[in-house]
Amino acid sequence: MASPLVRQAATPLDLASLINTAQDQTTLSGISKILEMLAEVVGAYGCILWRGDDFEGDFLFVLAQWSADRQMSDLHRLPRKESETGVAVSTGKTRNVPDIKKSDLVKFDDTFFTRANIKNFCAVPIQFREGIDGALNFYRNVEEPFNDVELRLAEQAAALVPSLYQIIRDRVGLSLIENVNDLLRDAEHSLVTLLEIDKISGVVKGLCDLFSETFQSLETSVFLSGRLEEPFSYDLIATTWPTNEEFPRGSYEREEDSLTGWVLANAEPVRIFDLGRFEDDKKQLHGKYPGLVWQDSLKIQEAFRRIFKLKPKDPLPPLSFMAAPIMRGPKVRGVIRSCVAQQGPFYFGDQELELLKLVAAQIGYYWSNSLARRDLQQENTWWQELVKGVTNLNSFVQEELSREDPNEDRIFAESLKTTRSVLQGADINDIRLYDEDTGELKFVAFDGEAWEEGTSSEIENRKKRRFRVDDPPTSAGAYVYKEREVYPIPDVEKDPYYSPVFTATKRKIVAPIGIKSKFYGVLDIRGTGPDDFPRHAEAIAEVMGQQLGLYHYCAEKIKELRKLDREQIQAFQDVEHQLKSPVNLANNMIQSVTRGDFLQRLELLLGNDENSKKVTARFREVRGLNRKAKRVTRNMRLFAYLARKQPIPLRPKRLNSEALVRVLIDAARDSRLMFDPLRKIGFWVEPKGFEALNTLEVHGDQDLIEQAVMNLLDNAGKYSFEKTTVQVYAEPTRKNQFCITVTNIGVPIRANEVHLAQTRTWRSERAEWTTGEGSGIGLWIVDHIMKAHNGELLVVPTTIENLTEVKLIFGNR
Amino acid sequence: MKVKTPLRVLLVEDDHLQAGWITDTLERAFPKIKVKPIRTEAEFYYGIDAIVSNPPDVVIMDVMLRWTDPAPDMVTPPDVVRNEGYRRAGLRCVQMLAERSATKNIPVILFTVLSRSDLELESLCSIDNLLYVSKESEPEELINKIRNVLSRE
Repeated sequence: MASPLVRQAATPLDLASLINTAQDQTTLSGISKILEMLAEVVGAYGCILWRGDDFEGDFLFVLAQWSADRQMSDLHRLPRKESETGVAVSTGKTRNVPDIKKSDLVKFDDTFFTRANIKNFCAVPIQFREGIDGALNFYRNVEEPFNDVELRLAEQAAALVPSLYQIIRDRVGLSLIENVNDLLRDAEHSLVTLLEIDKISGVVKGLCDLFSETFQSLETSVFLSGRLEEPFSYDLIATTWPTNEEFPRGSYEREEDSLTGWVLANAEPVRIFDLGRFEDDKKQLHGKYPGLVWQDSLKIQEAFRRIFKLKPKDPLPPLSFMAAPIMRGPKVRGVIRSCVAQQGPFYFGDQELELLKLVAAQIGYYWSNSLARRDLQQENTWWQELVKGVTNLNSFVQEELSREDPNEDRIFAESLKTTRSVLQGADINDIRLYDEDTGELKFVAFDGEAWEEGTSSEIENRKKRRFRVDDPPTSAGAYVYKEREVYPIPDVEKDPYYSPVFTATKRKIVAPIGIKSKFYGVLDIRGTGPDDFPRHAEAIAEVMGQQLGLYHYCAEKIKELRKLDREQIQAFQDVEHQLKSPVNLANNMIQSVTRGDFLQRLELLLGNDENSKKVTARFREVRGLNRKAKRVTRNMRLFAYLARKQPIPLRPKRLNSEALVRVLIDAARDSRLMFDPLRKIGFWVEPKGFEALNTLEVHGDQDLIEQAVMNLLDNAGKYSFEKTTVQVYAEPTRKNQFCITVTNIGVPIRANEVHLAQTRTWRSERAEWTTGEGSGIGLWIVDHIMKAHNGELLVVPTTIENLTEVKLIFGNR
Repeated sequence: MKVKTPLRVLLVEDDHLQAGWITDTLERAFPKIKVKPIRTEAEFYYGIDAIVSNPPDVVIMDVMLRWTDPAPDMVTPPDVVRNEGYRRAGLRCVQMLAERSATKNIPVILFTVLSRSDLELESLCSIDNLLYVSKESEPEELINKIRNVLSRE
């Protein structure tokens, strides 16, 4: 009678079903499902799959197991020489043990035997695909041993196991690769904006979890270098080590004495069958991995017992370990390692190591690309900040330089503020300018609280320090002066050119301030924090140095130009002062001599011949030339006032009609003399309209009004066609304002040129053809004379008849 | 020194008062003199053929000349005049004389307020008969320059 626990031998082997089951597995522990199916076929209570170790040592190890009561055997290893299973493996023949009590080779300290009340078993030798030997054992807990038929079935079943196991391994490997690809693809899509290191690390953790899940590892960890350049320190990025357990190592160094260090140093993968046998297998391991050392920083055996609540004397399964380097080209970027399967199969084979290497390659690619993208994004952000900073700085400088008296100290201060804002880690900064007289660099601008630390004499002495620019150079500033390029000092303690100003300084950059070949000074940037300057720091320093050079050049040029401007204006004034007296005197003398009927009396005296006429003509011409000289001299004086933005001084009094008309008639008469008589240009002042001054109370400076009208007459005469007349008349406007109008027929002023006509030195193109001498400021001065009178200059565009009108409108009092 | 008579002088000067004074001065110094006035660069430019067919003995050339007098039908100046402006008008006229065989050897006296360095005469270095008198100098200098030029012939 069969025990209720015995499973009867059922149908023969269903190969299709076995293969399908194998293909459905997603973890290696799925082999247990296959063992269940085979045990059912053979009619066994339980089934254990054994395999040898990598070095054909003295033991066989449990690869997988199944029992009807779902309990795991505590037995993890069997001695080859002293066990029935070992004999089966070594002889290659099935061993049938009909009664375990009668076998000398069966030990009863296995709880599986006692728990399940095993009575008999058979051990069928098998050969795994890697050339490793092993056995498939079937166990029964009934008296009746396996008969021949059942033994044949068992052998057939055992023959299938290596292939079925390989199917599972292949399937699991493929599934892992697919999952890894899916994870990375999703990560790529989501990581398009801010590439934070946490998010990148999160993806690596996902890969570790996948690997651990697939191979039932207790620990899968990844260590990576944080930067794309070559440090030799690799930090923990992700791990599946239980969170309630302390993880002892946060980083590894290359070439340190450890399994992980060996992988980093040699850029080769490592696989160890059982860490517990490291010392026993050392010779063989050193044959494969020369110099390999195991530190056991995880205290793996203790940890395993603790995590799985095993007693101190409970046997441990093989504690397998594998690690693969993460490469980027020829460089080692990190390592991925996985160890200790939590359930069967309790080892990692070469195929698993290949999968680990594949995952390592994916991680390497992803990590490097993500960091590169993150760095690029950061760099872009920094450059954008720099562009923004410099743009704002340029606006500030533009505003400062357009002031009457630009203050370069403010420009320097703002530049240093901008430097600090765009360059991370720029804590203490300054500008030193080069003194050509003494050959020294001296501080002119400061940024950073450290400048104001200490007593007032310490602060003063610090700021007053000077640095010679000797050749050969003995300081960073001197080096920069000589070479005209940025000088970085990543570690001040190791640099021969560093001259300490602040003890807190850890690193420094000295950039030249200059433009083309001209050297003005240096920009000093100091870092005091633990982090290095970012990669682009030197480029930023160079840009800021060039900007400062440009600003300094502009400021100097503006100073020069303003000085020149002031000197020119002063020269105008000086010349005008020198001229005014003799010109006025000559004018007065001529006026007094030629006043009234003097010229008629002279003509009577001299007679009417050609020579006599020439004499009187010359008197008139001299008078005209003198008036012109007076007009030009006065224009220069007015220009000097206006160029200095000073108001035109007025001596206003109520305008008298007769006096004004007399002055204007004299001016018109003298103006006529200035033009070629052959062209027959007439000048006429109509006195009638000026009578309005008798009723309208108009105040003005008669000399300046004469000046304004003379400027207009000069313009009108220059541009008039021959045989025309320049006319001057006056009338009140509709608003009852007094208005003097000068008209001429000549070169036109178009409507769109009217607003230009009153600007300094403007002339239309056609006007340029007909004038030679002249400064073009006449109308501009008239405009200002009228503004000084609260009045207005109005230029009426030329009409069809080539008539141009210019009106002087006096404001109401 | 015997001055060729009658002395024919081409006076290119746009200021009528200057022209009158120069003419009077020359007439006092050279009794039998004929002074032909030209008042604008356009007058010289379009009258060059007449000058070539009846060349003067000496030319007195103002440097800064206006192109033309205002008129309803003003002729647009050539590009070189528009580009260089009135300050080099006299030098352009000198160049025109130098390019014609009938006039290239006529002595030309630049009579101007501009200093020699202001004139930028590099382009006219090849013209041997080019002379300079400043308007600030005494009238005798102009007269002596004419005498010297004519006595070399």
